[in-house]
Amino acid sequence: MENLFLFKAAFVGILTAISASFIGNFLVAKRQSMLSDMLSHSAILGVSIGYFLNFNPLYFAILISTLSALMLNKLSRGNKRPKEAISVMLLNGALALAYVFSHLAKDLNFNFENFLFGSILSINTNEVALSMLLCLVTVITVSFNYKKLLTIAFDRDYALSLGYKVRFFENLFILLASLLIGINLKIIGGLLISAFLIIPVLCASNFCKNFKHNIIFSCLFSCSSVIIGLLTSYFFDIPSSSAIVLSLILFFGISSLKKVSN
Amino acid sequence: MPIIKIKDLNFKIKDQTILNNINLEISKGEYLGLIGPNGAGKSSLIKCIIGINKNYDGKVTLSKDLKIAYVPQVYQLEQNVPISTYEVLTMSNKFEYNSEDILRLTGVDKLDLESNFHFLSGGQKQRVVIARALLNNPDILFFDEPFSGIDYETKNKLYELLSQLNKRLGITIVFVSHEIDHVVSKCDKVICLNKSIHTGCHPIDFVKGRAGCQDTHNSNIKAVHHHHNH
Repeated sequence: MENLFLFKAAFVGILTAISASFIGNFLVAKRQSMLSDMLSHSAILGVSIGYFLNFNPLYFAILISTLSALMLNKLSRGNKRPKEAISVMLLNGALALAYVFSHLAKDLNFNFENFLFGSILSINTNEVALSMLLCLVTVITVSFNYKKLLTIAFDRDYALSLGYKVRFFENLFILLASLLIGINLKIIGGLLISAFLIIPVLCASNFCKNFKHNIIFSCLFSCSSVIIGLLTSYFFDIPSSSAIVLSLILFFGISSLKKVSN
Repeated sequence: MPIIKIKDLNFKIKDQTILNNINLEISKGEYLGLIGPNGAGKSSLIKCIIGINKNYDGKVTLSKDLKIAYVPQVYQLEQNVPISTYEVLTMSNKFEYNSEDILRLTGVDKLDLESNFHFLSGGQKQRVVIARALLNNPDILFFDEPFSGIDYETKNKLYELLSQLNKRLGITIVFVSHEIDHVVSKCDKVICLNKSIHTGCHPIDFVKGRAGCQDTHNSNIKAVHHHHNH
């Protein structure tokens, strides 16, 4: 029975690792690493609103994180304001509000910690199905629009001059990232999910020379971190999401040595 | 037959007027020089035409299925994640029968296409971007002072290539330049922008005398077309 839980956790973790690597590479390329943190904190706000209103917290997590990303785009469009600073403001605002709602909802057996640090071993069948669906949608979306997304991520002006629907694809990507974060809030945790999006990309960037390889290697790094993290968690009885993130940081350290030796 | 029509174009950034009531037509096969002092709105005009600047007043009409290629002033690609030179070159196109010629003429054939684009020098990057624009088989090429970091020999080759593309294949070229010699020797028509005012399309002799429209501030010269005997 214990093995079945572990197997299920590994399966979902690998699906999430693949989705996160596909999305994370484009986020980092676009200098939007902060976006993942902002989305995850907004998703925590969504969860606390969901619990407060006694309605499915997952839907609220996705809704609130998507809305906050759209608000970020609106507030910083045309270089009116610094995007990084605006995202930090929205992140802090979301966390403050989340704490208010969790405080108001405290009578309803709402465990805030579960959504901050996740619990990959407690996933249900519904979440497995959602992770599979999201992984499929992400891989198909990126594969079919690969060159457009690559151009938008690296050279937005050129993409506009080619007549690509830049805003549509940017919003589509925000939606995918919000879905990923919303679905994984309970599995990986709001504070740790952005590590899943960003650190594998950094590991691969240490030695890859092109973007396609960067996506493939970041997938390999994050999948390996899931397996190593779960095994460490199982044998040494430490929280699984922490073990996954720490093994990613270990990979970063090792791949940095490779960069130095280059 | 104009392929681009600009009518009463006004463009502002915050409250500052960048372009003021621009009216212009660009016909197929023209080689246009766009000159004017720094801050006159040359890059902004190009960006309005090709759709990078969207919040303008007025009307910019492009003929249907017009294939545009654009080479910016300074090429800045996001640098956080590696991307190979090959991936930059093939962002919007595939290699075709004439690709090798383009790579040779732009000097890109000497570069390792599999290497990380971010490690190239400024001039090398600019050559890759020019090659990318040409590989796109465009109907019209917009060049925004593209040759700043490029060595003399390659620059001359590229000027020659542009003339050939214009004369033989009828590709329309719009070239922002501070190099009056180039404008004088190659362009059919010169558009002068100064202090956000379009001061007209001038004959080459006029441009020569005024050293790049530096002193045409607030003048209101009507369009005069100049035709070369190529």
